[in-house]
Amino acid sequence: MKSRWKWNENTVRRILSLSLLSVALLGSARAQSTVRNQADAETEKEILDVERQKDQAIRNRDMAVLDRIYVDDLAFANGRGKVLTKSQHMEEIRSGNVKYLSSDRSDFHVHIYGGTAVLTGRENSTVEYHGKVISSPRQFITVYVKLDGQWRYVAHQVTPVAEQ
Amino acid sequence: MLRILLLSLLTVALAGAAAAQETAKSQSDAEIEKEILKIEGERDQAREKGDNATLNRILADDYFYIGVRGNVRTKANRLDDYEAGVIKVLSVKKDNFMFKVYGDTVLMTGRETSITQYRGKPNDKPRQFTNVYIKLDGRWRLVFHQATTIGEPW
Repeated sequence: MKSRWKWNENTVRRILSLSLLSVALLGSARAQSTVRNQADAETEKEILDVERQKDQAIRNRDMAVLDRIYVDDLAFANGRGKVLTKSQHMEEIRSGNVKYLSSDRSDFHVHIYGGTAVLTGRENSTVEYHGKVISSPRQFITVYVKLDGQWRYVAHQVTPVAEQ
Repeated sequence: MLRILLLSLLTVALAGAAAAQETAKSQSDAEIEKEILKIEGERDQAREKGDNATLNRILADDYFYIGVRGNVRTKANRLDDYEAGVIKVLSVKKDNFMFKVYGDTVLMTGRETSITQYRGKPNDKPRQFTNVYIKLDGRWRLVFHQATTIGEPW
């Protein structure tokens, strides 16, 4: 009888220990998830801030800011599916071949994968492209990668939205 | 004298190690590109066959697709489209690939002239595409695809 009580006591101890461990692990997982969510929210804020700086730099033709944000081997595809290098794209802006007449962007989604953020959204901004005014809606993607502690613009593609 | 000799040897060793690391990195990028091309081949074959099991394995759960009409589709939408025959890939032709490797992220751009059919309407116009592959739980998964028709005014 004594031995049975001892076994029961050990079992109870084990169950208690396991329960405590489970609670601790669950708490730790929840804490990690919260930290990750907070980190993702922070990253999203940072990306949208860089995006705002970039848009402002395009409007102001501030090439120094664009040079800081764009990586040297930028992959840029415009709404005509034309691929431009960083220098070609910057020259379009500097020369005035691309002018933003009004800014209207919405439906942002930031997909975060560690040091990579994929921003998608819709653009209805009015742009003058080589003298032609474009205001039809476009869907875009921008890929940002954190390099040496800075979010850099590494790829961008635009697709015009077809009329339904 | 001994110190100078030791310092020289150390400098040579460090320079050699740096060069070796650089070579290893470029080889590693080349290996990654090869792996991505293999996955792309599997994906294209699955698109042609409407093999949703393979597509399900390659596309990330939060896969995001922007088609040539600017239409936004999720992974589930896309798999449904193949399942229902809304989208059919009749032949695959892709070229002009460019890869950029940033750790566990690979950007792949290229040109596609595959013949596809969307709701019965064929498309053989050349389009420029961007694919984003991310290594998730040790496997390369396609998280994003966007295509834009080349040369069409907008």
